[in-house]
Amino acid sequence: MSAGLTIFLFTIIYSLLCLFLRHQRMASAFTAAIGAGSIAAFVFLVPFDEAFHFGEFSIKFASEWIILGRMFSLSENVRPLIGFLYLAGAFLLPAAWLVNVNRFFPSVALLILAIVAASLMVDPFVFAAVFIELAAMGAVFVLVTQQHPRSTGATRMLILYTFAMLSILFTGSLLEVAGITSATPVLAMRVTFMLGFGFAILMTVPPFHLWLPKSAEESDPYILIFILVILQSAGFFFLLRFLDSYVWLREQTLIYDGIRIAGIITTILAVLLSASQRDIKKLMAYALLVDLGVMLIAIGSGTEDAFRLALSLIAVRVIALGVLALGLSYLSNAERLVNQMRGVGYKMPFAAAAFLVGLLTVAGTPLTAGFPGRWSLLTGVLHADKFAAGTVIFSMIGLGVLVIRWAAILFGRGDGEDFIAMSKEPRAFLLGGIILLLLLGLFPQFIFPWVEDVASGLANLFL
Amino acid sequence: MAWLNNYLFLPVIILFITGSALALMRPQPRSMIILAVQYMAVSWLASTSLPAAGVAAKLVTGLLVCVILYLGLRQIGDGPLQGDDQMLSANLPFRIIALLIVTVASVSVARSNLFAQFDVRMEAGVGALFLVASSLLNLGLGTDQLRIGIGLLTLVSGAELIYGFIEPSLALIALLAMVHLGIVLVFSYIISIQIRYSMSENRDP
Repeated sequence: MSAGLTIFLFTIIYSLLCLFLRHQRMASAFTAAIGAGSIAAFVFLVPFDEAFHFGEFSIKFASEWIILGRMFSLSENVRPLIGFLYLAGAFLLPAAWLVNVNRFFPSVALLILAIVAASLMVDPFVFAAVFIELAAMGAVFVLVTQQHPRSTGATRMLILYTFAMLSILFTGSLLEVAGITSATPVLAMRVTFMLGFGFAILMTVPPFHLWLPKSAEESDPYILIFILVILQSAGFFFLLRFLDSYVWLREQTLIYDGIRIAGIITTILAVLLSASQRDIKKLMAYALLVDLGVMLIAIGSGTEDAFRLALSLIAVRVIALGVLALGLSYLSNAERLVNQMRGVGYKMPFAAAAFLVGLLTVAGTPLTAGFPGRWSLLTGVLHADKFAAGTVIFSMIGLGVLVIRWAAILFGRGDGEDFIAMSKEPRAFLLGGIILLLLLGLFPQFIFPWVEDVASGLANLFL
Repeated sequence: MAWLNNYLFLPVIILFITGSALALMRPQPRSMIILAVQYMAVSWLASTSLPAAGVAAKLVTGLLVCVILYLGLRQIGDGPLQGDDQMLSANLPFRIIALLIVTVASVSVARSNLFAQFDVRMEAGVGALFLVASSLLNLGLGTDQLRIGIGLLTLVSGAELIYGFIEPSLALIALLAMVHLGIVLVFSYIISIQIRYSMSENRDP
């Protein structure tokens, strides 16, 4: 039996189960989380192309699966990446029942994970662009719902992802047909430009971020974070695979310079825009862009350590953004604009604390999970690039000040600060998230060895 | 079917007519007939690069897309779509001039050997570039979801025509067919959600 087919079959089975349980929100969300977790365990732990003994049973999973003449391969270089995505899903899905989401969300979320996994498995890997487009289509179904019927952001996202798909498909074909090497500089430049365009869209680099604040305004923050974490990670892994596969691309300093400059611009722009936001949901969108900018600065350094660090930042952001969005989902049910938020922290202290600690983590403040990554970036990678290092410090200070500002607003004296009763389950989730972020800040070694595993497959980038 | 290749100027003319009509007219259920004709012309042009099975798959997908959109729109009725004329960010004379400019631009770009390395036929190049240009016009000027959906479908059709010469594999045809169906499902869903929302808004006092 092929491992790829097993993943798709089990994803569909769990998705159908979630569909069947859709009226019991908690059961549906936990089924999806268990499904994603078990598939992640399968990807990480089960050996492929050799007999796997489970008690008295013995089964052999083939790493390759051929359909319509194309191969879906679970090779060693994509296994950890797929495992990471399913693990991210398993972390984010259990809390889905707590927020105001469509009851089909867990079911569709699992399918999105499977499509993104397919994008990593397909060979030739340039076809991944089509799968990411299909995943973006799936995202529209959860971003636009009867509870959140406005669709401008989702439509913008789909249009941009379609452009990205076409751009990357054409680039991939140019690479295959024209045989680009460092000896064909004009063609290499053209390809680099088209690739840059495609990946800038996939990674939501400004000005292709325009769908993000609009979606933040129109959709539930928790859903948006799930979609963004999965799609951006898929785009990031796709970029790493491009760099891993093409020597001439890896050897072009222009690419790394471009990524670093894009990261610096994204970070500065996002910090300034987040400072000017009056809508707390848009603030989340721009804080997310700050995080992306810092990640791009890390990748733009072009060293093995930098890639490793970027992967660790991705792992931390899943947790940080999950906690931030969960808190925000509760807060934004009450009010959204700055003048209406005064005193909301007294009504919902756990939600406000989760939002603020999540934002502190995204800022990379000491004692939170975001700090070790930022610190390693500043001390280990950016010591030669003062401007990039300055940008990272600017982002930390800028977002830190914003946290103080929003803490003052949320816990400022409002009109009536009646405590809004919250049942023990959401309280447990919010508190658990806060504790996790603080614990990972104190003991970063819990998460960083995983990154080594995720990085291990890309043999050319991580020698 | 080789004789079809002797009349390749015909689908190009059809594409100019359908593309212009879709960019200038208010989107309505009957627009799906124009879209279906456009898909037929695209399939005709695609026959120069794809095997017969691929062309058939493309044609069937296109017609299926039109049927799904038509059925969805018929359920909604014509009323909610009337507002597009007011929402469209440019009036008819502007759209006609813009269309003329993109037509001239697409013909001249197609004649400039842009796709020389991929052996793309001139007719397919002109048709594809016109589709891409008219779709950009639809995406740029329209605010209505149906117009944007038609614009995206046209964009993918145009790009697909060129891509058929580069990678004529059945797997890619199947994947891009899924993209077409995905786009139409997404926009049918969005339109239905918005209609339901506007109906519930109207019900509220």
